[in-house]
Amino acid sequence: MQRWLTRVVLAAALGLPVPSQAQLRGEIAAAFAWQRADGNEAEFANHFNLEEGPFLERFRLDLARVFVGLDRCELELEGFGAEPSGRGRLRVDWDREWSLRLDYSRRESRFSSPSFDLGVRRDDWAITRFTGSLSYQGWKRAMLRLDARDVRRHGSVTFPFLGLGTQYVAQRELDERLQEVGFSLATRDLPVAIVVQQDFAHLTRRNRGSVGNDGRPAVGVDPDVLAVFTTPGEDSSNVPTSRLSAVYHSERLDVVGRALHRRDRLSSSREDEDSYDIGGGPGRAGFVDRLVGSADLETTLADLVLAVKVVDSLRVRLAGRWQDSATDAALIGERILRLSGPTGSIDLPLDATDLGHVALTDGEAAVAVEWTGGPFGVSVRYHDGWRKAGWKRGEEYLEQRVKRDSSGLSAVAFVSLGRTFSAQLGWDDSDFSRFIFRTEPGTVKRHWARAVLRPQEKLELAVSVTREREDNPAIVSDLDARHDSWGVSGSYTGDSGVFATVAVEAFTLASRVDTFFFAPQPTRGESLYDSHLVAVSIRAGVPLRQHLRFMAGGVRVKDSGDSLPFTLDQWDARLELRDAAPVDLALFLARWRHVVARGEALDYDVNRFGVTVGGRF
Amino acid sequence: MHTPLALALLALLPATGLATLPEGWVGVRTCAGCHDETVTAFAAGTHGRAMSQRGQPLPEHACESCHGPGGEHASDPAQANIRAGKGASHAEASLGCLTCHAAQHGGLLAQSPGHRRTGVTCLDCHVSGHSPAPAEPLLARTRAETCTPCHRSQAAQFNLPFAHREGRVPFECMSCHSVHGGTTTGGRIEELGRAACVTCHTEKIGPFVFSHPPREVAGCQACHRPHGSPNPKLLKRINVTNLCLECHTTTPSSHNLASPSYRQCQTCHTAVHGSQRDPRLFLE
Repeated sequence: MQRWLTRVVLAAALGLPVPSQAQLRGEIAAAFAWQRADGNEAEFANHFNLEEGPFLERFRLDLARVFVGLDRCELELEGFGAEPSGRGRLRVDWDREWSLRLDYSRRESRFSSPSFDLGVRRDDWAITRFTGSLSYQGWKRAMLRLDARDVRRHGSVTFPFLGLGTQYVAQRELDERLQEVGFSLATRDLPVAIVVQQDFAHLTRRNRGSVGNDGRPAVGVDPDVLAVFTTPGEDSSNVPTSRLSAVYHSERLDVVGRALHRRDRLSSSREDEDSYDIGGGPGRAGFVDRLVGSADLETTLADLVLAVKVVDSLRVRLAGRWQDSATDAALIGERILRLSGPTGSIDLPLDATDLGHVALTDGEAAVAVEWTGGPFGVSVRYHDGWRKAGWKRGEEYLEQRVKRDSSGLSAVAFVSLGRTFSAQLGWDDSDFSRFIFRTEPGTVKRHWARAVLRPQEKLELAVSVTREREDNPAIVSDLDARHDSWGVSGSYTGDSGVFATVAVEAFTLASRVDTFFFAPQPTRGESLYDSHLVAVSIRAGVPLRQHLRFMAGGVRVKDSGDSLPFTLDQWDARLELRDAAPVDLALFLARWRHVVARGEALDYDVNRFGVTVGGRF
Repeated sequence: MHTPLALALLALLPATGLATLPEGWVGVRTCAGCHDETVTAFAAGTHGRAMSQRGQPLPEHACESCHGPGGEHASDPAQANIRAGKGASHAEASLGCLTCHAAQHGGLLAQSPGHRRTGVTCLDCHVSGHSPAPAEPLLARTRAETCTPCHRSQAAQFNLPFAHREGRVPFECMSCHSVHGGTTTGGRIEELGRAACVTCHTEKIGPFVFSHPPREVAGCQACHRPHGSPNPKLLKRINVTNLCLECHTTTPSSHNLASPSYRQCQTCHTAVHGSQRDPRLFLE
């Protein structure tokens, strides 16, 4: 079979008459997993969202010459069923001029937590994405491509909201969709590679609200009952985007330039209502928002990079970037207080006309000089930038306008002895003139080092260390943020599929910010976050016999910081039998164990094991 | 190791292509005389199919466009007489890639000097196409594992309780990062000029009639950690109210933070990313 296939492919490749027989290759592996969970299954779903049942481990189909002109058709599928995601890829090459690529993915997300959103939050939704491209490569100097994508989020979210004096619960059925098409023309085999692209996107949101928790408040007891929660409106946006990029590459000069212009025009039409039965009786008080909103966001972006090899040992890189985006928004309509009872109803409307805007302009210029001498080198980069931000979120808020300058210097010393050894030592120091938000740093200092040693081709050892400090003055928020990390790893890749990897990564994050709030008197406080994470991972694989292979690994993540001390273990093993029988077999098992130091409410211990049956054709 | 049929097929080929080859080049049929299985596998792979434009056979220059002139190697088949033969370094072998993929190299040089400083070459992430690749575009490892060997710190963050993960498998780095320096060409639809996050989270693209300015000004990472976090919703703090209060110092005096009702700001201000109807971000 293999030899026959070899001959046919060679004949086809060299342009000889092709046998009429279709060529077909592929593999399939279907699995079934059993799962046993102790403890908080919802928290396990938050983290991994795996279930018991069948799923497709992999499916690949490779067809060639099935029809005249069909050079290749490849289909890949995986996931679905008990897995929280599924994906498919289709690739078709037609007459070596046309290519079609279709990608599909679906990802399910579930979330609920007793400590989040008063314990009533429930997310159960999925994002499905179709992306596709059709390209024509029949021209010698250009390639034409048509892109399309369709992204949809559907499912439901249950959430608390501020109702009549307290938080009630509502549910929102999601119907959110983005549809986009675009075409691009890219030059080929020209001194300058140019891509011109025009896209058009249309977004819609038709989320439908309903009453949750039977109309009762999220916490506590309240005599008023949420009777109506409806959101019959629709938001939609039209977004044309134009892009241009050009790349020139030569032995001594690289130039990369890009430009983009995008306009997002939103139209929102709402008639949302939440109404309450007062004291559970026949009297009802409701709020109806009859509103039409619009927002116009315009974005313009350009960047340019020039990299010049002055001499073989000296390179200079100049970069500039500018981006401007501005949103102007308006709301017209009325908010109606509707009181009703057995004898009728009365509407008390209030004008809801409002305006808002957000504007942001960014600019940055940078120069970098890199010198190399033999295995050693040093790179120094200076950048200077500015940011202008302004916003007014409705008439009742003050307008904000802030300009923030920044500058920074960074240097990297490095040594590279080919693949045998490389090391880098880096230093960054950035300063900011003032603050748009009070948690932004005034200075950032970052030092880092990393080295990779390959004493032999099969063995690699690596070490890395990073130290980062952020602060700002006491008159702002007295920010003090410390990020430290280090890691060591070793990996061995031997013959016949033998491999082993051990890695330890540690992260420390300690952050303190002064706060000021009313409780109800003016009160000074501080927001603290303290995390000391260590992740130890090990993975290895070894062939036991000619057709038998064993792989196993695991990760232990432990946080001993004050904010949320926990331990999460993830272990798995797999035994594979391949090519020894008409079908391939694999046994797998995995274990997850989550332990939170403060209480057992979020702990779980989940075991999953299963079998995979597959084959190739 | 050649098959009789392959040799017979080669003998039948017209010789028109030879005239166009530069001096010292021998053409793909000469290469296939010894490396027929390699040529066959190459022709069936991504590179081979890309080179064979418009239904034409594998072009004469197919092998030598990466390996350099093969005349000397054909006379004396020593590995030293051919570029990027077995045992060649990745750096040497990658020179062949740049013959066609100059634009990617331009981007790498211009915008990702870190990759270049550390000696990352094309073949550290890609395979040449002589054998089936674990993933396209000719990646040496699966898409989720391509960056892991070097970026272990980021990889470790995907093992945190809340992470961008599909079951056990981390998201592909290329979903958000452009590894060739942001010069991805060929018409890929990308979210240039706004956060990569909205590629999937399209409901947060906006614009909003009433925006939460950090979203526009500082981006998603003002509140979220992109790879993984111990905290729900990939938040930077375990306590959401702390996250809010770090910026908001002008909370109204009616907000009695001693009361449980006021300890989770987002339970009233539910539209934290922006609202189409309420400047106080009460509801979407």
